[in-house]
Amino acid sequence: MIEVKALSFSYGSGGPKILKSLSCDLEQGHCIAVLGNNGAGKSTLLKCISRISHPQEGEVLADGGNIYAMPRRELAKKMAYVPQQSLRSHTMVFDAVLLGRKPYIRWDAAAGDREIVTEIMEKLELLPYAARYLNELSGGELQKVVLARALAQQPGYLLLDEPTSSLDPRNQHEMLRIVKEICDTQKIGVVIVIHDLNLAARYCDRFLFLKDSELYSYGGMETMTPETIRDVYGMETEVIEHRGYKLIVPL
Amino acid sequence: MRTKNVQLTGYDEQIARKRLAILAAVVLAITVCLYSVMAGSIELTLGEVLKALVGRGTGQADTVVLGIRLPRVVTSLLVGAALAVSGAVMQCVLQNPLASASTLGVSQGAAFGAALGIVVFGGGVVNSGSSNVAVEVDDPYIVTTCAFVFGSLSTVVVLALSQVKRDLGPGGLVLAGVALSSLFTGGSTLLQYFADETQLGAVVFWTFGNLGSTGWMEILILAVIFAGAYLFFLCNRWNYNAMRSGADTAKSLGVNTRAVMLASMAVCTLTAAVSVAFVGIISFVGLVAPHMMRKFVGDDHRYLIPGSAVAGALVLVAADTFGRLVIAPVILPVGAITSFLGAPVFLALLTKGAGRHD
Repeated sequence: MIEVKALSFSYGSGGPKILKSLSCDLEQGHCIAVLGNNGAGKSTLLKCISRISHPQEGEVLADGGNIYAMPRRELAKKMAYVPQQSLRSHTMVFDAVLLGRKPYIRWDAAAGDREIVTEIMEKLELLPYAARYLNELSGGELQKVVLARALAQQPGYLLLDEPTSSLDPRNQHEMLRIVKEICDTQKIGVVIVIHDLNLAARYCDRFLFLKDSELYSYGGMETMTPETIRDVYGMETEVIEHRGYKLIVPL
Repeated sequence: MRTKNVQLTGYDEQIARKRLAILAAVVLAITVCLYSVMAGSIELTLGEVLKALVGRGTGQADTVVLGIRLPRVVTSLLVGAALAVSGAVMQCVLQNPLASASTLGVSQGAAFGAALGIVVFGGGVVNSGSSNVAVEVDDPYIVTTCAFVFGSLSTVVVLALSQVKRDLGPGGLVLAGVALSSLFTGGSTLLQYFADETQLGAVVFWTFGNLGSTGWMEILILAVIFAGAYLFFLCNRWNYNAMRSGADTAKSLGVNTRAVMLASMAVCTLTAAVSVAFVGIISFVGLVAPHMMRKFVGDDHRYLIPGSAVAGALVLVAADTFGRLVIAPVILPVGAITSFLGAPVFLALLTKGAGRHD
């Protein structure tokens, strides 16, 4: 479990607070959507949880250990972070995924690392791309490679910052379907910053709403109500059910 | 399982191609080195060179090979490799394809420091009695320290700028390098203005680049520093690959990006500064060699670091041999040759969009 305790963050001393004394427990084995308006602090929360950003106050515990006191290599074995935008370089897809083994590599990648990478790439249907270069891939393919690299870290928690923002609708569903499947089968904790409420409702089972840098609500599908959405986003919606899925329809 | 093996074959072939490219560059570098030792005002055969190398040569061949040409070639190899590897690492840790010791003002700062060490602190004298103007560094430690201090000054300013103004972009950092280069060139000009005739020769020397003035002691210092730096860079090759994927990804992979960047820049500066302290300003090798090698081995630092070292050594030995032979007996300054080679590559990189903020 990731325990977030009274987390406060601002850029520079005296700057406006991006997160205000935020506390929550993020359980393993769940797919958790982090929701809220632009500037609510969603991405900052994810970066603080993964030690990319350092909060001024509060702490984050992963399986009981303070992540800011943990050796970076150990933390990288517990948590993997997928950024909003990935850099394209002249690197082969297989090598890009192999990089996910970095926390385990001392001098050079071993045969075991290669096997793990091959297995993950096979699962994500990326093996035919092994010898292609990142700067030749489409947005959807690149995002899959970045996800594969994160999975190669064999993390207990997968943190994704708007993984679908640059994808077409087909690739958005494909991406989240894979993530959901991994969450269900490997029982790892997935935390996704996402804007699309319908995608969140379809693929996630826990919803963390942020409003004005503070926690508004956190819970299961029962929290996805027109009232919550009105308070958080300032828009009127209707939540309907269609073929077993909840749909959020703007009015 | 069969499909898996077949599909990875393509990957393994690409890896084999990368290794082959590095091997080909090594063979080419050895060939150019041998030619460089053979060619000159006294022509030597391959047999004579090889005999001299194993200590069974004639008196004249021994003097020419071991006393003159071999030190020059070994210096070129070490300086070329050092500048190229430093360039490759700077380009990665600063996320800037235009970064190198010469484009960031490190070389110019180091040259100013070296000149200051020689003129003001009495670290060296000029012997102009021979056909080549040569600077003997009496106290390599003073000169190297001064070169390192002023080379580092450029690095500190560039790093501070990149931290304070994060939206500066690759072009902005290079502009900062241009400003620093002007500052240090101005400083060198002032030193020249107030220097006496002997000191003037020394200051001007550093702006030319000369690979023919190093003795075996300087070569030993260069070799030790290059070996240490190369080992440091190799140990960090996975960190560089992670940083090439973006700072946030690198942090998530367990890399202390700030520490790696600062340590790498310090080692790059030391390597470049020591090179400049002994041979003067050699521009663009640090920029050209890594980009040449990227065409063959890509951005993977497991191959880019050794590949850049070989390419840098090859470029500098070839440039120096060309400068030595093209209008012999006059020897053209190698710094000018590498600038002729590097400027078009630099412009090509700019037009390809490398200077834009990614």
